[in-house]
Amino acid sequence: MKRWRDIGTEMFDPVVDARTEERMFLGLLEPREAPVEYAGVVAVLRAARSASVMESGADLRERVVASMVAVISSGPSSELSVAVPPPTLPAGSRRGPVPFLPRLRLVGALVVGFLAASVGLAFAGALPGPAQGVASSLFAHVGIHVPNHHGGAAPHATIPPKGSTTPAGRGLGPGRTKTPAATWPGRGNHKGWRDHRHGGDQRHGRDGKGREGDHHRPSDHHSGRDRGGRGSHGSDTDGHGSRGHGGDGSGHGRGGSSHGRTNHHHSQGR
Amino acid sequence: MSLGEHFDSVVDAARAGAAWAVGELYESLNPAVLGYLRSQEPGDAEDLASEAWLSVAGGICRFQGSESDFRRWVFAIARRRLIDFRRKRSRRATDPSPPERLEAGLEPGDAEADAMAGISTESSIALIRRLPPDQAEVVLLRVVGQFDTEEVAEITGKRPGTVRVLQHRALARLARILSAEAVTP
Repeated sequence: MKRWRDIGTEMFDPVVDARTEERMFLGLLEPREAPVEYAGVVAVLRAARSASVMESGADLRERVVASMVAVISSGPSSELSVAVPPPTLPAGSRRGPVPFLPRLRLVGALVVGFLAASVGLAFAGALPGPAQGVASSLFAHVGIHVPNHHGGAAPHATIPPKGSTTPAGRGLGPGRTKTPAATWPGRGNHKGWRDHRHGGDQRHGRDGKGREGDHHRPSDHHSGRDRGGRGSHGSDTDGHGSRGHGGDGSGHGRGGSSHGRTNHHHSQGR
Repeated sequence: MSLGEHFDSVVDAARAGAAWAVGELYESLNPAVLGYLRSQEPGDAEDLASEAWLSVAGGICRFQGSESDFRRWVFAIARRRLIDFRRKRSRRATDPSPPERLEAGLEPGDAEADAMAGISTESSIALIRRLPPDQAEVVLLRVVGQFDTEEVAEITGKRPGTVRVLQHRALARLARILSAEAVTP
């Protein structure tokens, strides 16, 4: 109600039963037979019914029919496939179901984006601690360095062939030039990346020197953090380069140095 | 105009591309379709009807059903063309319908007296168009398209109960409009 004169409309509440309504729509009710309030409505509906006999021009008919024949002769067109009866939608739904393919593409794009972001964060070392550790170990299996959650890099999972040698002096940091770092203690001690701490009492040759020609196993390079153990070697984080250390376990310290296999103390406990 | 028992043979011939059969289908239904579209979009009804019939031609090879199914199908197509047309027009928003065009057929004065005296088709259509769109559509499909409640529900995608409610409200609203205009000087 917007104006005072609408009050009559608001207060007027005509009532008519369903059967009478149906007769009104079917044109079976004369205005005089209808309820008083609906006499005008009956007249309106009867007048509107005559709209169904509206004719179009003859020339328009000819043109439309000729176009229809041409369309039919050209076969069913995909453009005109909307002519099929509309599917019955479930009650309450105003839109059809979402097509499967776009939804699949969307899910695929989300998955790829998530993976890319995760890999990027893993390489940056920005994942949460446990996730970074998992990512580090996973990438280590394929030989990719990714920092673990301790800040170090996971070791190589791939082991270079035996006999590969690296210069012993490379990677020894300042102040430790005389200490062979992370030398592979012996055959069969495949601690892999977990073999990151060696107690200081291990014997790396008598003179404790890594020499050129020592055989090192690169997989021992990544020894994690130096947590105070004496003689920890080869940590990437302590500034001592580890490249060139580690051998194949077949002997160290040329010139009489020998490594006692059993004397290695792997202090993995933290 | 109903084709009756000849409907199947006419549709078969139309599927084969016979012009006479296509013409018979067109003549049997186009007046009602055109009346329905004119009641909704007076200025563009013939274009919309032509588009609807072209869509019918594109899909008639896949159509299967009786004559009443065919009527319902054609009206559903016409309604879809109408909805598409309105959607495009609302996007362009270059041709707003002037109010005087909507009210053109409705003459001022005592509407009830005019109704009793015999209201014209255009006036009645204009009056129906003053209803809310969903109510007007139901009334026009029932009156101009001469469909029953279930058929209107199928064409519009609504439930039959919803259609009954809409038509009931539409009649009550029409009665209120006529009554208000009868008492308004």
